[in-house]
Amino acid sequence: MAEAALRAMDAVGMDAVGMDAVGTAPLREGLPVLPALRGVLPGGLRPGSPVGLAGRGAASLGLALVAGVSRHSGPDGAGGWCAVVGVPGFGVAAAAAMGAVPDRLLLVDDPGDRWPDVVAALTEAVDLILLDPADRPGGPAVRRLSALARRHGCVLALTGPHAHAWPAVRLSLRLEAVTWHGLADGHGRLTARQADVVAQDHGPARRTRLWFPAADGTVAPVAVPPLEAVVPGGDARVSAGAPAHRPVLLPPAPRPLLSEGA
Amino acid sequence: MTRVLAVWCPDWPATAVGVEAAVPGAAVDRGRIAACTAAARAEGVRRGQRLRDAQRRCPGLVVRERDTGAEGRLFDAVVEAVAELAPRVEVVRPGLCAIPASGPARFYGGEEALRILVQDTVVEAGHDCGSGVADGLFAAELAARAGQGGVVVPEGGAAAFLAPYPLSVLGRPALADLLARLGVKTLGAFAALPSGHVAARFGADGALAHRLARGEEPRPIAPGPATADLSVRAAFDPPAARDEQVVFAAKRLAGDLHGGLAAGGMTCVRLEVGIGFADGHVVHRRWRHDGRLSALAVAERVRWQLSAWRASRPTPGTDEHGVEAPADDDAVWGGVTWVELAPDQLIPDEGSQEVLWGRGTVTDRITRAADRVQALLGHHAVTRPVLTGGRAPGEQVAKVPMGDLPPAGVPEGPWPGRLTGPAPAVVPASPVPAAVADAMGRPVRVSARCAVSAPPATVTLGGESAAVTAWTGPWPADERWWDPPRSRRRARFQVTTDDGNAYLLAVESGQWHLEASYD
Repeated sequence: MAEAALRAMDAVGMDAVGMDAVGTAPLREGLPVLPALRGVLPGGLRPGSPVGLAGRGAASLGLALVAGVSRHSGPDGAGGWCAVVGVPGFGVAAAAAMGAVPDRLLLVDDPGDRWPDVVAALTEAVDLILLDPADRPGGPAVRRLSALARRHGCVLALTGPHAHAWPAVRLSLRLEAVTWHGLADGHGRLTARQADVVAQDHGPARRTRLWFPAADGTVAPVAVPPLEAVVPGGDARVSAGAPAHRPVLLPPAPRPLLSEGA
Repeated sequence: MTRVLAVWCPDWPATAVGVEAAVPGAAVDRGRIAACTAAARAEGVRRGQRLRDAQRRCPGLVVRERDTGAEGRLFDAVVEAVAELAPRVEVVRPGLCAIPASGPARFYGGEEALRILVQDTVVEAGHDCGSGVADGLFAAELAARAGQGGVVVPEGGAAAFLAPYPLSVLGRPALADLLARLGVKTLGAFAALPSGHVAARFGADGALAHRLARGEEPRPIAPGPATADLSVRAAFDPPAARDEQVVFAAKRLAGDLHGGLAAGGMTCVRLEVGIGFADGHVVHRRWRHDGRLSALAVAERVRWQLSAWRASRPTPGTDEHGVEAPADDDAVWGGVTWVELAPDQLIPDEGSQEVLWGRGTVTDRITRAADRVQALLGHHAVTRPVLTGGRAPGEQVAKVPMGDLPPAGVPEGPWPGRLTGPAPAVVPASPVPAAVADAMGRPVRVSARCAVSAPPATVTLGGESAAVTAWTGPWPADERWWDPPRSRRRARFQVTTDDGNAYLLAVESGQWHLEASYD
């Protein structure tokens, strides 16, 4: 009785538009992703669906998904809310550099074994939850959370050692062919990383080569075809994808409006 | 309005330095007249005049340097004489003291009788004085200076008494000058101005002066004692067995609470909800809210608190004494015997203005979800990140519990030695121990002069080793060296490994740890 009343109240608070009567997936647009990721995720993320992030670069992929929703989602185009559950090391500064708005982030660093309740409470409020389950998710919890996420159109991005135990993850993202730039043997500093972002769902894997992150922290496509600089008098080439130094165009010096003698 | 008797000794700085009232004399402070006797005033000497001008008008002027210490010492005799008649003497400044008049006036047979008695007592003690009785100290001081040795201003007559005085008695030269140019020359004319406009044009100090001119207390009466108990409580007999009863009572209590707060013009920053159970358990929780919590919102929080308490019970079946709990999910085990709502951190209710556009606001939906998580895990479990300044990656983000205000006074840069380049994707809350070895398997060391013993070859984190493909460093960071207990001296390295990872490592007194991972 009480729960029913609460649920009815919540439904009023929610935008119930686009939710059909039988409670299947809401007829909404996909959740937006960063422009650079649209190549591998055309149409964005399907609301209510889980996304698996595994292997090398899972943390950065999580940041990028949060940044995409936080920057480009929301009812008025102002950006959506994201929650990060069980990821105390979430790099807020890096997410902000990718475009996330820290004001619209909720961090639950240590939910412990209450994480299913925490996620259940958050699904109805936020657009995306980045979740690192503290233990192997059980069947009832998965069914309950999946149903809640589908009903409210909230994307669960799963990361961490127990992410693969989540059934029905159709879409998974990973990084391959990672190259770091900027470091050498004892000097330099990390400036950027190039990687193939691979999205795997039912069909063949889609992949795209990205600066992930670029030198300014953003996610940017690698220029294709790679720049070639031909050195006069030689055939040395800049290797594919390496940052090429372009000639710097200086703005013309301002001319004085009136010369002294005029 | 309190009746105040003021005792005013004329030209006290001059009296204190031993100038007889009958001879023209003055106390001088840094070349200007601080006070002069009546005889000198008759010759044309004025307070604030330059000494040279005063001597030109009154060649026989007795000049003494002002001595504030002597003023205070000598005035003690006056205060003691007054204290013989009535206790609780307040010294406003040397030369002026005051007592509350209502009690002594009844004892000595009227305010005029009291005034005469005080004046005679002080004169007997050897000092000329005037004494006056009026509403409030400001009017009483002017009453003491009025007429021949002071007057009694009848109760409620302060405004009429003050009206003819010039604005200079307010002691605010800038305000008086400006008002004079606006054509306002007396306190009466000033008091006639609408107080709202005065406050808008002249600010808090102008409003205070306006209250003085109207013969009112300089500050509005403080609203009610802050220690008043505004908490509300409902008891259940027999104990309430179901959530619904408790929540319904809480809704009614919230209405009472807001009524009590609104009567005092207050609102509360936090609300403490206490629930007592039949078995003696008491569950307290504080709820914080930016705006005012409505009765419905309070009821919801009580419901969450009950459900969180139930969820935290070890087993739903039996408790530690083997007593079986009701199987019904909605029932409250053992029954609730009382609910109490206590306001915390009372502040004046100034109303609240929501942000005009949608950006940056916390919607009700978010607040409700965060409150539910806070009910499960505690107030500090849900945070919002705020980017702040700092050198290390972990110092650049402050996590503010939901509902709290972000920290004020965020330190601004520059931060010399700050890491540049892309920010790391993983910043562990506490540094993770690591091991860094060279090609021979020996630990890599950094000397006090920042020389690296050998290039790092392997990094071991959590039992897994990886070969180093490129590295850079050391970047020394010597922080808070002026504060030995908190000082830290570290050297940072960036390394990439053959499994495609990049790390920010730091070595501090021979121990390596992972500060951040670029993953």
